[in-house]
Amino acid sequence: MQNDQELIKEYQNGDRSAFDKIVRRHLSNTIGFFYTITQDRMVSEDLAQDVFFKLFRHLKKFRFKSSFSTYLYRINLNTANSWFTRNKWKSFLSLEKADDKGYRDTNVEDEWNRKELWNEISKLPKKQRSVVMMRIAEELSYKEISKITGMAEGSAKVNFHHALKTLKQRLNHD
Amino acid sequence: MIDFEKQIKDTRIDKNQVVNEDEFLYKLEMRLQHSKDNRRTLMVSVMMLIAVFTLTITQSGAPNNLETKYAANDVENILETDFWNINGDSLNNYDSYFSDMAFFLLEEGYVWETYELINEFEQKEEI
Repeated sequence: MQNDQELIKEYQNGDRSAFDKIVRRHLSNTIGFFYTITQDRMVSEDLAQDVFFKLFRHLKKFRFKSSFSTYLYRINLNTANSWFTRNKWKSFLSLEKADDKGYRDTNVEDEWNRKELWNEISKLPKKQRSVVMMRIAEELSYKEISKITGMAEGSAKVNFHHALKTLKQRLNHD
Repeated sequence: MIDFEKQIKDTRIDKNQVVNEDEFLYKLEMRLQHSKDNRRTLMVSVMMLIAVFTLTITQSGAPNNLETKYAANDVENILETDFWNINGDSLNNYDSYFSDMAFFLLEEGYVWETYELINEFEQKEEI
């Protein structure tokens, strides 16, 4: 089985099917990442389309200076940040935000908590949001996060700590 | 804080999503094709705009005055239907025009008018 690097080289040499293989290999994980953030299957597929569309256009210029997974995470992160920005006003007005204090069963409450959590994450500053996304949705180490975001490992830790503090305050989990 | 981090991580959704890869790839292909078409349309539009702009600036295709003048002269020479064109430039026919007109007026009995015409002719010659 060919690794990513070999497939990318084949794609760069004009083999279009190599790109399809790359997509098939990383599709599930990419959609999963966006599904964690959006909790919407359709939106997560659309965002994954955006990611692979960008990848198709830029992969020919990939110079193997970083690993492909780092490169793909970076595209995922940028796409997610763009999505948060696009939906800034939408989330302000969204009915999903309505604070209903009535009865709900456990599953619904989990769902509600998840939406509320990501709604609050979307309001964080970009750096903090990026670290939180990578840490929560992808379970990456600070070292990997620093490679993807370009910030120092210590800075990633500090940003995550500040983000958690803010989220805890906002979600009233004191 | 660690508890809170754990709590947040517990809200994660199972990432292993079942995806119809073929359908996804088909949609992606359509999107790439659409983008390619859009880019081609944009390129053609830009090229057309550049062409129109260039033609406007250089005024290529607009009537050239000199050529028009020569063309008009050529037409006159070919057709030779107008009285001023029979023997070339109408200015050359200025004298004969006055003499013809003077004879015509005399024959018709307009003596004073003939006199005024001759006076006018003389004044113009002096000028």
